[in-house]
Amino acid sequence: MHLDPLILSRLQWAWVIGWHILLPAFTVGLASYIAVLEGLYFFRRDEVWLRLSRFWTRIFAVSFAMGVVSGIIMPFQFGTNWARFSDAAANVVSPMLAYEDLMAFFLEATFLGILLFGRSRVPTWVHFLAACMVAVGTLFSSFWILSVNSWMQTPAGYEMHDGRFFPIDWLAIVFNPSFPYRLAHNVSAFYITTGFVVLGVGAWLVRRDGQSVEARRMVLMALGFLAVFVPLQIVLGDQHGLNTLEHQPAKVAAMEGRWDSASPAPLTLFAIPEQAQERNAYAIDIPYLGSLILTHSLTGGIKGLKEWPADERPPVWPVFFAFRVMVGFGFVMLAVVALGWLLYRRGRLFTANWYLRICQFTAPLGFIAVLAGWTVTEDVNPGRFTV
Amino acid sequence: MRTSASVSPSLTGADVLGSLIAYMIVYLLMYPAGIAVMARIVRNGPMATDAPIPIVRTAIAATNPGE
Repeated sequence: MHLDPLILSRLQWAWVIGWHILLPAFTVGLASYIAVLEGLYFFRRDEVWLRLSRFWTRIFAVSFAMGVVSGIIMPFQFGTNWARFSDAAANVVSPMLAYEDLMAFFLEATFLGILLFGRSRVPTWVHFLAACMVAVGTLFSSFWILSVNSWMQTPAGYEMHDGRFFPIDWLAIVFNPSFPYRLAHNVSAFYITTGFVVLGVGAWLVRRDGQSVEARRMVLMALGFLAVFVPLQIVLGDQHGLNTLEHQPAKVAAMEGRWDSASPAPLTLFAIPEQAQERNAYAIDIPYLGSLILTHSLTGGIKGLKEWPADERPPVWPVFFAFRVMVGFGFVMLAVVALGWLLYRRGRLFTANWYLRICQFTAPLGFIAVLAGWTVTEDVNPGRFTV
Repeated sequence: MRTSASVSPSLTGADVLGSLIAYMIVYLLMYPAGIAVMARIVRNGPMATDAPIPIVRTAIAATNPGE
């Protein structure tokens, strides 16, 4: 049996990044949530906020440690498996990863100790400040990592000399075309993922302890937050999609399962794309809707995959289905949040056992949506191109 | 830059397969363990207190006879 280092390296990358991304998806949101809880305790002096903050800080400590351990593996992968990529792109990628170390990790390393061990050793305001700094650190980390990732998707601000990338305009590199949209869509996804975990844990505690004030506040805070962020995320996703259409139209064609250019283009709700035959089997199309969503006009044209040579097309099957999983779960989340508010207005939120159970089961939805979104963006990474 | 041009030239399939299996074993141990620890924290609930950090006064006194 022949073992292909390329395919195995891609599998290895998918394995380590797939597990790793689950942790930032949780800790970025949780760090901000803890900062809010610490702030509420600092300003209101209500012991309930303190107990909530302690509870989530204990969980944060474990997930943060796992995130660091699994994250360290990622730059090692650049060295061990992707040495030629590192050689070619190091001038651009390394400084950005170094900025992540200097800004995010130094901040987190300093203030995490105060957050975890300083409760009885520093004044309350310092503890609140430490929580804020850890939260800011996780956001800096997201900023730089997603900047690198976006640059690999939509490279800008560089020159090629002898097969190597040389930076000529750092602002253009850092704020490359897809970066602002990817950052907003990702951080919002991380926050929502955390929101659903808080909702699920709170719901379980309400079912177990009934009158627990802490559990009820968790559920209400999560529902209030998600009522804003889930609809916002749908808008951000739409904007990110428009940006992708502008800069990576082949990816959008794969997401939509669109083989032939069309105007107006229908929206393919479901199909089984057949890459070799360049067509969809069992397609369910809704006329005009594809143009309406992607171009915000009824007759806007969308390029099909046949506009690109076969070897430059993304693998359609995983991108097409991962996109549907991501969007589908987004709307399931919206339904769960809307249902929660309906029950709250009728005063039945904390007694509707069936709804609290639904909240428990939807707690991991954010993680699955994040993984699906990552699959869409990487077209089962390193699709065809690293940069 | 093509992905096929990005992979390390000196890698052998056996190298990657071995390390992939090792990564799989480590992650499949680490993640369930971490999730189990977090699940226990959730079961203990928000009313649980942080474990107190014991202050060993006798030891301090022994090293600082002046106190």
